[in-house]
Amino acid sequence: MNKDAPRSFAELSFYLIRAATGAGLAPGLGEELAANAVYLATHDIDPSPDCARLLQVAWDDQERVIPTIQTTDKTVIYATGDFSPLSAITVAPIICDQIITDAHTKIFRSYLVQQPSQPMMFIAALARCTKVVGEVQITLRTLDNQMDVSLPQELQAAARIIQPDPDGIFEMEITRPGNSGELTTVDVNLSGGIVTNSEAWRIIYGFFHRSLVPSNAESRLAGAGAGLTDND
Amino acid sequence: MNTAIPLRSPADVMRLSRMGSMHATRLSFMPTLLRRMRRENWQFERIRFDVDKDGFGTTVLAVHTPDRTYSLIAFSHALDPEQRTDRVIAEAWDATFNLFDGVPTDADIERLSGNTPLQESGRFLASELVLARANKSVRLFNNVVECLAKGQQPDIDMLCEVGYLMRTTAVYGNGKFGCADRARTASRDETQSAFQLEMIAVYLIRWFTVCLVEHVASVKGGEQAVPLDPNLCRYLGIGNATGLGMAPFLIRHPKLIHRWCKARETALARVRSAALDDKTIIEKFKSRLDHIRKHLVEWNVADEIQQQRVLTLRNDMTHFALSLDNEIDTNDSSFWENVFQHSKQYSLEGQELVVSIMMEFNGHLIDDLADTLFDEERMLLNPAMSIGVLRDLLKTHYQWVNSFDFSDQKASDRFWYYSEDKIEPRLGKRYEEEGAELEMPLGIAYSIHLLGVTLTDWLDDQTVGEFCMQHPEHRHIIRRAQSLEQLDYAEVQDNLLDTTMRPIDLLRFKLAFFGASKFDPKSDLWTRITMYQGAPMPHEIPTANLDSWMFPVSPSATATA
Repeated sequence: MNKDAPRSFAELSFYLIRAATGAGLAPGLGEELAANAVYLATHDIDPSPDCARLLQVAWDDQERVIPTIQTTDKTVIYATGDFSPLSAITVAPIICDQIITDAHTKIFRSYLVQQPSQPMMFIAALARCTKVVGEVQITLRTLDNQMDVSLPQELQAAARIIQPDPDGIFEMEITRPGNSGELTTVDVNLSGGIVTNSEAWRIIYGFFHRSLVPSNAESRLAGAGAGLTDND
Repeated sequence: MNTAIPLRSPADVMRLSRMGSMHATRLSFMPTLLRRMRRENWQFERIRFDVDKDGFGTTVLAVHTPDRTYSLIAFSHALDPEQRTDRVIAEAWDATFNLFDGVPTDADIERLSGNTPLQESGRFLASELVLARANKSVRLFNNVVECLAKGQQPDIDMLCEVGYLMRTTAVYGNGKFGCADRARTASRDETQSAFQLEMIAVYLIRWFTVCLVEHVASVKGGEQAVPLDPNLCRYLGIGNATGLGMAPFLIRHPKLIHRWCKARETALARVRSAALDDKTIIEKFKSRLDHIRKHLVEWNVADEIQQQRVLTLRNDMTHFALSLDNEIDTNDSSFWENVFQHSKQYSLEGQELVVSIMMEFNGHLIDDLADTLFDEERMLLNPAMSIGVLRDLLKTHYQWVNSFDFSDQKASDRFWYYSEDKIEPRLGKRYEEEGAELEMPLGIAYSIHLLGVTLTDWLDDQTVGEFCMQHPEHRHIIRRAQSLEQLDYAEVQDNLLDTTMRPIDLLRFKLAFFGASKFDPKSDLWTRITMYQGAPMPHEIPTANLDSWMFPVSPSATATA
């Protein structure tokens, strides 16, 4: 079969959750990564390049888990200590948690995320949030341009802007419009999975493989069904 | 429907000891499917049978529902006995299968012929709903071939001892290896409930095994050969070998498990609450109990623990049968509740078997619950919840965790992991073996315990969101606890990391929900079972008794009963 055959969403989720473990991340963060990736996939957006990059960054630098959050007129989120990018694996859940908490307390605050790494994964997390908090507005800033997207409706438009040059986005501003009380849903693709980038998948699989415990003769014999003949 | 009698407590039901004692009921997935097949007049068709004299080749068996067709594509292969193993790490099998959505074209079959025999190493499309494989019971398959070829029926004792011609060693669904995600079929009436696609596949595999054995015998015996006697045929189920892979499913799908258990307990409560006005039921009940006692006599296994449990179960049911004559008031309209209360003196296996029989006689009260055995698995973190409220939630819903002493290493001795050996799920010893940092997060009790310890330093008015930012390692268990707050039967209220934990109890629980029988544990880690044994063959479904095919007895025993 063509090696570019689609991956099912369940497959995507399983491999990413375990790959996150392989990259040294907590299970809850792996679940968020997988959920965001599946969300993109069900909207026909291949999440594998972003996921591969994020896993690599997580593996290379486990220290940058907690960002600095500075609240003045707006909440600014940036990497602690230097100008390194903010990982969507660790930071997107934090922002979503804040936005959901805001919604519970009827606060309409805006967030400024500086140097978002793999901004499409932030977008996915925020789009998932809209099921709880209603519409979310995002302003994406590049060095010479600014673009507005409204989630979840304009997810595809966001992908068209971001995916050609994910490193080009240096800032994301996130707001919840005051009239966003109505929860939103959009139709999704359940037809047949998503074709993933083969190089990205190779990296993801590499992290997945790190989550597997090496086998030896002793553990092999301790497995279910070991040591019995099945020619009966 | 209201019930005057409350449901059994989760603290009673969701313990491994009871879960590992459960039996099939009429709400199990196999009887549920068979009732639908009859209700909707499903039609079966042998579309293709390109199989050589040795039984090797390609077969397509289809079932037509009112709205669509599902096809079993079967590839049967020659297999070196050296390669025949039921383990996940196997590389070759006697037969490999897909359940296909619709009728496959020649191109589909050609494509799958290069993938299905490879199983986990193959790639599949959303048109494939299930991937499975099976190995022969070599001695029974050969015996049946030899006998039928000579114009004789097979040895009933051997047939009774084994119970199947082939046993499946994996039945994969829900998106595995590129197959269709469950979401693709979840809105269909016939596959909305749990594992219905897998049950369709297994039912067709059982039919396939009969087609295959009769074909090989026919070629070998020529005009002398005869088909299987219908009574023997019906008695042949399809075997299955199940290992640790099934256990993580139960922990990862707590909402689904809640639905299953809630339905089962609601069913029991309805039956207990019902008045018995038709006294003719009593005699039928006694007769059915006699039949099930014969079934128990035929349930013999090599595992000493399980065999002892079966012996106790036989004694329980003998006592129960006598009690129906002289102890339980059969004139009381509260007959079902009296039976239930009476059963409390029996072993857990005995208690649960009585529950199954009670449910079997009350389909009119409970069959609608078969339509509630599914749920979406969405779990959401509520970051706005205060730490004080979270603490209260844990106290209320996870109080059972306090019964475990995690200061004793034995309570966290085990860890569940995937081996690099074909991703085989295994259990390790945390303090002796490497790899615990890669464990699957299945130790819910331990995770709740660790969360409680970390929460000690936090104030009640701080939020879960703030806590998760500092402690992402607890995010998954908080999300789980919050999501399951209203679902009493979602958690297995035991410690899955304890050194004394028996995974076999989890397997038994799930397999009972499938509708399996003849549990035959081979260790604490895996079991063989039989599925659909006693169930009607496809052509018999329109006229068969679908209320009492479970707990079958051998054809010879039927004849003398």
